[in-house]
Amino acid sequence: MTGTLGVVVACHDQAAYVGAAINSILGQTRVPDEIIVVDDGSRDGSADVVRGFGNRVRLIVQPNRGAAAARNTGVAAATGELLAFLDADDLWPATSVACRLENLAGTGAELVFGRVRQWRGADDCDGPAIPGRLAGAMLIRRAAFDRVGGFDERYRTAETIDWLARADEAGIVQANCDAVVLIRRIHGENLMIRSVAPAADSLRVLRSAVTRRRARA
Amino acid sequence: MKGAVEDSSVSVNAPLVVSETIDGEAIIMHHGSGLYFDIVGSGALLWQAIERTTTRSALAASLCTAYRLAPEQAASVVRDWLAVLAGHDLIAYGPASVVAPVPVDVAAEPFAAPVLGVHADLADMLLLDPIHDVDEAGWPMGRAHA
Repeated sequence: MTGTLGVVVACHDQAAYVGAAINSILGQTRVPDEIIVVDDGSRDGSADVVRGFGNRVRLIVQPNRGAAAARNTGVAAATGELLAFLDADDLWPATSVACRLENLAGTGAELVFGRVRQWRGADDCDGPAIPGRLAGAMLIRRAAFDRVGGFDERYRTAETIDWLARADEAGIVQANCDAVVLIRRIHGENLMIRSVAPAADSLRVLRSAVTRRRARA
Repeated sequence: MKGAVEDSSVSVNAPLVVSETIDGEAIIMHHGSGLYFDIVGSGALLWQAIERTTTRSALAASLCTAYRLAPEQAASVVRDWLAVLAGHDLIAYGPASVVAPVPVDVAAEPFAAPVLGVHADLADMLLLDPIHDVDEAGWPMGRAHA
């Protein structure tokens, strides 16, 4: 599989974690060709952490509009033929990109996911490696992403569920590799986000999926 | 209490199950199975009452009012419908209680038996939502520096 790869990191108030996220990208056995961090209105100095990486990382700062908008900004700036995403509080194992690229080349798919390990911040990260259709576990051809369209900025959470539902409906050819490609950090801030609007966005996303399905029937 | 009935309470199986009803359509999500569901018509009418906690008798009374069903038919419909919902772990039964039937309007559409739309296509993603396995101790905080 050849082609340039851009990775988009959406960041909102993740100064404690974004440095580790970027280091996990730079530490890939196949380092992405461009790393774009979109600071989405952080108030905790996240942007300063990113600036510390110098010209290895492109930083875009915007007012807070949510993860969907931040990812869309990053995608608009990306020039690669392939796209990947990483949330600023998550990590990629060193072979994350290489495994997904190899799978993409071998299967001829347009989009590949890998397995996800959820990590609650303890020293060990040995939980089950579960298949995970999350943005951070996805690597996709740019043309396929554009067929689906951007993340829906009306959703502050569940935007990836909505995007994947639309990808399924668009017939994007998907594959899965068995390797763990994402360490998803579960921490207090995750819970804070969910406590603000518990399940509301998810239900709206599911309602939209049902409505679209009904319209096609 | 005039119009009140007394039997087991029926409510949403929270917190595993969350739902929202808008414009006569209920969308329900089960955090344990990752399935989601849609209901319209008479089923949505009944689900709205369940969202507020109700009883089997109050549900039947709602059907009688909305669709002019005979009491025996309404009771049968409710019994079958609750069995379907319970089969997907969407409802919980509680102690006998007294619940006033929720006022309902006469439905514009003729009666049709409730149908539960079941969707599994996004189960993998819905199951990844960590809210479904939170315990009483809440979430451990991440390390200060990763």
